[in-house]
Amino acid sequence: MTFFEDCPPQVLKTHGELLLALSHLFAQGGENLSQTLSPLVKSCSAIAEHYNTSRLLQANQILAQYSETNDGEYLVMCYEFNRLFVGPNAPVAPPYESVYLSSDHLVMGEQTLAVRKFYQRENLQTIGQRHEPDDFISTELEFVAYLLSRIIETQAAKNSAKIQLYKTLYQEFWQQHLGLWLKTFAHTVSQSAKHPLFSALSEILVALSTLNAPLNTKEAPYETYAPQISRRSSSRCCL
Amino acid sequence: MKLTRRKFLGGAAAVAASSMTLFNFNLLTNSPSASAADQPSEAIKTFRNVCPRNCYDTCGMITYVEDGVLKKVEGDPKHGYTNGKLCLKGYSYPRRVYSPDRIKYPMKQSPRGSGNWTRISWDEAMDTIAKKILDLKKRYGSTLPICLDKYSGNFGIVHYGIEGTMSSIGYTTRAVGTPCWPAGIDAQTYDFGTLYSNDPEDMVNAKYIILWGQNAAWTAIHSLPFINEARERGAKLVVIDPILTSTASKADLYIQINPSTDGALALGMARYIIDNNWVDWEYARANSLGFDEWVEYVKKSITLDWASEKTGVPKDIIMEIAREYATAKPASMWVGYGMQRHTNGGQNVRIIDALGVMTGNVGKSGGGVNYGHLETWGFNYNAMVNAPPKGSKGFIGPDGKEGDRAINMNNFAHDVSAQSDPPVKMLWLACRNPGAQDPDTNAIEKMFSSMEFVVTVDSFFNKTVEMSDIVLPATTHFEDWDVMASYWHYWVGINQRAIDPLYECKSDVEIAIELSEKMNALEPGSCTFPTSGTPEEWLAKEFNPGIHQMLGINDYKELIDGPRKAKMPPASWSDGNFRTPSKKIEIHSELAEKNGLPALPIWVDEMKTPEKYPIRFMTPHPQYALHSQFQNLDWMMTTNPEPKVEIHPNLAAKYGITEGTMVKIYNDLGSITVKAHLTRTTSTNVIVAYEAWYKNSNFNVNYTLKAIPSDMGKQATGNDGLAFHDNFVMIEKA
Repeated sequence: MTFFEDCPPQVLKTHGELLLALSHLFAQGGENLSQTLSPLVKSCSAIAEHYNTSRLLQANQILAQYSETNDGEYLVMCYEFNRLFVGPNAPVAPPYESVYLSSDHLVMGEQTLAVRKFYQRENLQTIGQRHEPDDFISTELEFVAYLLSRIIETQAAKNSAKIQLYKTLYQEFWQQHLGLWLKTFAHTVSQSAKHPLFSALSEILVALSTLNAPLNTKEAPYETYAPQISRRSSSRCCL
Repeated sequence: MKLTRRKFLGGAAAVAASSMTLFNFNLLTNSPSASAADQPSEAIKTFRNVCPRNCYDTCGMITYVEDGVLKKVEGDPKHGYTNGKLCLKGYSYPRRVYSPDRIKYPMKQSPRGSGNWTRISWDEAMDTIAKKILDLKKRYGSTLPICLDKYSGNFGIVHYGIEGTMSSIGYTTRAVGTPCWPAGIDAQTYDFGTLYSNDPEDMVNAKYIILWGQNAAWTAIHSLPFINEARERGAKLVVIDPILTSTASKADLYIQINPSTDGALALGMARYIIDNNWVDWEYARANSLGFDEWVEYVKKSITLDWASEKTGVPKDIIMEIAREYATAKPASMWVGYGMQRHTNGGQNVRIIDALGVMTGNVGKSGGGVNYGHLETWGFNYNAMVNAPPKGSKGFIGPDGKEGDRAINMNNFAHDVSAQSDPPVKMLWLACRNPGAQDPDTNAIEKMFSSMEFVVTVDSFFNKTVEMSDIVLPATTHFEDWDVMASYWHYWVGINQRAIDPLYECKSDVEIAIELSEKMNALEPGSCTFPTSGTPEEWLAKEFNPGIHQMLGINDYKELIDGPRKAKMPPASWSDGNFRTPSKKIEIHSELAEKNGLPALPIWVDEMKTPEKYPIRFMTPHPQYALHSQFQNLDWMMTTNPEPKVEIHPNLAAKYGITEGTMVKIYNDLGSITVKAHLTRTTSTNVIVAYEAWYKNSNFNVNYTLKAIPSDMGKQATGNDGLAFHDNFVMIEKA
């Protein structure tokens, strides 16, 4: 199946918004959930309604519930965010690709450098290069959101060569990077989450991964952070 | 990560105007090179680094960096002691630098100990800390309520900027002393004027080697090749230790001695040496004071039967090693730090010193009573030296001088709590983890909970961080410039910044600079720490002509080509210029006597085993860690996943304990529960567990450890040491 065929621009745009909303949520941290949750709920609603996936709808309902919570609850969610992703304790689910995919399970592994090369293909680099691992989840999500935006732009311009270029880049990046670790990461989160918000977030990451997974994507085996889970083949994206 | 929302024209804009995108980037930006993806990887660059841990070996390292990523570390072949190899801890360094567990950002905990952490900016962290300092200063009229506890987490010279941070805000309360080796330092200070060991590479010239309470196979592996070379040349290796260590297992002769009776063994040897007239009278009489007085004491008070009874060492073995040690010429002794962690530990070292003197082995290549040295540490300590702000009020010491208020590092919980005028209200912890390493952990926890404010600078979430209000992320030594000397070998090496600091980590000097800027913004003149200078410039300021001369260099940059060995003779004290008041070896030390200790190296009884707690609990250094560093890393947790207590099968049987049984170890102070490992490497009245901080574990041997002082340490280090190995407990099946 060819990636992105017959997908209306509006759906691609909604996908991009979801990717960016997730990117912002992880980048801006637990302290800013009151700003980052609502955009995520909005973009997630659009996706869930478009594909009519009940699990995504249910997860998004939980997100929606907590996006309108009080300051005290936001603080609890912030603490949980930091326990899961930031520290100062050893974070339960470090949000970096190479932690899951490299044989060393460290940051700045071969995946980090491979991702850096990918960004460079588009003459991009991370703002925090050499300080922050390039394969931070937010950066990877921003990169695919960018690629999606390029697809939309080139489709509008009817530049078929560019359309194909960005579709290929998008597909390659999912196959070689995000698609290989996002579910593992999500599963690690769901296994350890002590707050419903993060179980729901995990569901959304799984759904996103499934929607974007081309047929030949192979998930990486993982040993350190979670037991293997089987990849669902249903609810495929029309992309 | 920078979260400032910025709108960029995407990278494709560089290719063609028609390809411009209006995508809003947050984390990505234009790459400076239009064809960056086609560029090959950077060539691998190498850097010189030095392991800054509290370790004999202080290894020279070569760090390989590709595309800004530390790929691997190796021993520096130009470092004559490290000789191209590292220990397992050293080889694990990339795993420490790139561990996902590292503390990445300044974080605040509300309330302390709750586990509720929020990420804060450096500016907020500095603002909070600076305001707290100024508030305490206003309330108490001085900065004495602020207490610094810094020690050996990083022994880099620039890291003394931590002390400089405190000096620059005013007079503060300081944890003074050293938990590691002070009794032995004082012993050698009384005897020789200071501690000054032979070059360890000189051990190749020894014809006989005694490792006395020293487990080099775990704690100083780079010395073993020199010992082995000596053995290849015919030297005999004797290891004296209460535990059959990895080092002991390699020895020609292993002597399992009763703990804390090393002086008795040395006195028994001395008696046999005197009886057989193997004494080097000429050397001893020419170079020492009080030698004959001590010989008379030995003849009058010491018998081999007594020494054998006291030490548990058979008489014929005492005679054998006495004869061999006295007649080998030269014979080397290496006194380990564990040996002096007793209530009579310093005195035992003094007796062993006397053994070296009586056989003429002091001042000789291939000889020495080797304990450690500080001969190569003559740096400027520029980062440490800052005048207090004008008008600072200090503590008036016994000498009438105003200054910092010293408290005992080795009884930290008690001494902090005991301060009342003014009380201690804020702790600053750096290069130090008292939550895991100090005695009486329950008291430490209680003391921490009584504080108004606790700041910790660290790389990992250990027990001390857990008890802090704010944690600041520390750089590793690969992310910083520094210079390192050793307290064992004679080499000095530079530490280059090999990689950029990860996340938002900062060095201690960078933290001091930030704090100074903030404090002066809030209250001009409230902090004297300079606010300029690159990390390399701060390093450069540590060098002086004396160091240049000692290392044979004209500029610190020459150390980038390789570490340098100090130009010193291989044998300490070979010039006979001892640094005691009399300029001779003081077998009779008036200084010791003045300090309430025996003037002579005579026997002082070991601590008696309490009836209620008949089992000695020894907690020596671990194989896979250095105190609370390294054990938390994945390699170590895989290899050594859980702590164990070593118990002799006979003792275990008495309490119904079998291999793998969970054992409760307890005394009046507290308890720990740990899995049993039955082994005959320890004796029937000694159990052994290795002190360490395991990831996600509350295991801590110090819950049972009282802050009992060793006999010496005050003279040279400010406070007596800790009798870590005079800890007595009861055990039962958990």
